[in-house]
Amino acid sequence: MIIDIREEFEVPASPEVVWEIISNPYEVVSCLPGAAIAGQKEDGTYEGTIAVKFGPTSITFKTLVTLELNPAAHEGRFTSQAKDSRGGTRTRATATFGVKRGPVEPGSSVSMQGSVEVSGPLANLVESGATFVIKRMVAVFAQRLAEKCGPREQEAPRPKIGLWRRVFRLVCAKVKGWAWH
Amino acid sequence: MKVYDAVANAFVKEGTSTVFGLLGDGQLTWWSSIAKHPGIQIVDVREEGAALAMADGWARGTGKIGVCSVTHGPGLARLSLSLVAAKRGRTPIVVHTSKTAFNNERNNQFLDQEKFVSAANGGYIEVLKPDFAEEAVRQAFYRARLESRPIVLCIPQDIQGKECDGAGDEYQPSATMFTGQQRIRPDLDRLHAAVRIIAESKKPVVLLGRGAMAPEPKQAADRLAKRIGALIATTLIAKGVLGESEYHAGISGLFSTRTAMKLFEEADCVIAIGAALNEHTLAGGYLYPNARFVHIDIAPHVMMGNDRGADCYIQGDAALTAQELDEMLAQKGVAKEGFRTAAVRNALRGADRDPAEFEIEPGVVDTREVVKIIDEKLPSNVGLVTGSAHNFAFPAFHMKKPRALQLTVNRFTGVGQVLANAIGYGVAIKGPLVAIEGDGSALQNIQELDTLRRLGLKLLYVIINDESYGAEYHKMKASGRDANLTVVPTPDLGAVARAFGCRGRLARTLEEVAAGIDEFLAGDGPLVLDVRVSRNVISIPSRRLYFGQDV
Repeated sequence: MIIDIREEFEVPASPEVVWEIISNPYEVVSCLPGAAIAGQKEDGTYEGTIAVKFGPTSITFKTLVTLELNPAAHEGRFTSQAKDSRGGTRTRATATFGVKRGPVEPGSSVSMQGSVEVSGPLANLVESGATFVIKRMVAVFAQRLAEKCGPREQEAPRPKIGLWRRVFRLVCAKVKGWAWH
Repeated sequence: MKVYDAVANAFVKEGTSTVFGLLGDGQLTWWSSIAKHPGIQIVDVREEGAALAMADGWARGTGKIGVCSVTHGPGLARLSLSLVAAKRGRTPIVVHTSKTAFNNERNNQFLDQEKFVSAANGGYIEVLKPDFAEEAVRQAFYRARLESRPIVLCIPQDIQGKECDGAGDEYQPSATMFTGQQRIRPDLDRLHAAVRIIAESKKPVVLLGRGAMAPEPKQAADRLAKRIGALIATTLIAKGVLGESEYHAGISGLFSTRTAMKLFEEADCVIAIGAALNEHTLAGGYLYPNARFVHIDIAPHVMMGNDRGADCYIQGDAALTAQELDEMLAQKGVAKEGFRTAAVRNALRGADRDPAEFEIEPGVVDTREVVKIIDEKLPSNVGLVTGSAHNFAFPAFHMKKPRALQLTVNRFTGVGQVLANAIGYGVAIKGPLVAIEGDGSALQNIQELDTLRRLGLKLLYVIINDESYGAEYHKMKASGRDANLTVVPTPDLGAVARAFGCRGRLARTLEEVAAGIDEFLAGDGPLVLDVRVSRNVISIPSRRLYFGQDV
């Protein structure tokens, strides 16, 4: 089955601030409940896990994510291949996303378009419910993203994330990833 | 002896007592011949597919081989859905039919029958020489029982009138060759392996399927479950088995209550008895994340619904295996509390309560309330027949009274199968029953109210009428499409029933539902209750499936 994604939401922060967060997988993950990055492979793909709740059933997927970014245009493309350890479900997602200046200053409009292909036992279980699951996840993401951006709006522009900080986050994410299993 | 007489005689010797059929020019000879045998009941059905569905329900009710007779070509062609459904439901049936003249494909009624039947999952035996006729009947019954599916037996028109050496009273029925499934004693090594898993378990679930519905396996499973403190669950087909237990968690799968799902998540061992453990029962393999599986079935092996084998698979008779496991655990001194605590008991009490509120428009009722009234008012001896589509989730969830006689008609999930199956089942059980079906489904086979009226069965036929194709309505709504495209108004089906000579009522309030049931109980014969329900009420499985709700 194929689930179409077509989501757009507003964030009360400038596109620059929002872009800095949503172009950073570690920041994105911190806005997604149940998601964690276990590490980055040499080819640049990220290894992670994400727990998704379909009805009363929670399913943890292991995922490989590739990210292509176009910082100048504030646009990106994301592909993910995921499988769950228990039921043999596979998902393959492709999406493009972008940040534009929103109608109210300071504000941004974040859009995401793409699709998720689900195969395996879950495909029969989720039907159109998956669309609602994704919508709810996006809503939570938007809220957390807004929270993250909100207070910083008054602060000086955030410095680029340093190497040591990256390493530290990677270790934290790994620990988080291990804790998942 | 004429072939048709030999074949009719062989059917009788095979134990045929009831034939569900529709007479066409292909069966005139056989029909006339079998009608002469004393004690044969011929049920004239109005549509061939319904005749096969009735034979299906009858076979499920009696445990015998169902018999259906239809004419060749167009008559046989109408069987497609019922053939597939009977195969999926593993019902042994012999379908008697004929064939148009040999070597004439230009005949109007010609059909490549073997290809057709094979595509519909049935077996096919055709008599090409007169002396094979009796052997063909024996093979058809033998294979129906062995393969547990419909076998179409074709006696071509060119053969029917020929002479053959019929055995008459000397005919050896197939039961003399194969009496049915033997009781398989489980292998000792497998039992030991299972005992190890069960003994280590702290929170076991005993999951009962269709193979554990008979009294003997049921009692053995109950003893085992009590010893190890197991929660009881069933497949949809075995709904309500051991329902009197305080530790009964209901159906396992998407039809589980939320409380049951949480408990299943805690389970560290599942002992499945006579259950295939398909993807529905295991909810795609996600229902028992922490459990090891002991899987008991009579097949050499059954792959579970998550495409895996159980941690311990035991080929064996359900009752014998459960008994032996119980005895071996007793010898080891295993007796545990497991899930059987006051907390679990309390959690399960009222777990099927659905707090969701929906706006109910005037002139229609809440389906949840309707099935609750049906359950309360109809005593346990009233059998229950349900089908598929949106409406059947309501009886599955909210009808809790243990009923020894019940039939779920859902293996191929084709609409229009409940009434006919219920009629066959009613003829078999010779007792009162209630059949619940949606309006779209009912209108596919509404002509069988005529058959029902002639048989005079004590059958309450409840039509859950939302004047739409309910499952599609909710799917369309969930996917943002125009749900009104699924709405098709129906006439007053109570009045339609009365025109057929049945009792019939239209119910637009819960009081009218109750009054209809009272009228059914007070009188004789069938009653059709057209209950107008609100489309706003969405079943729990549909809320999960289509709207992704955590309910």
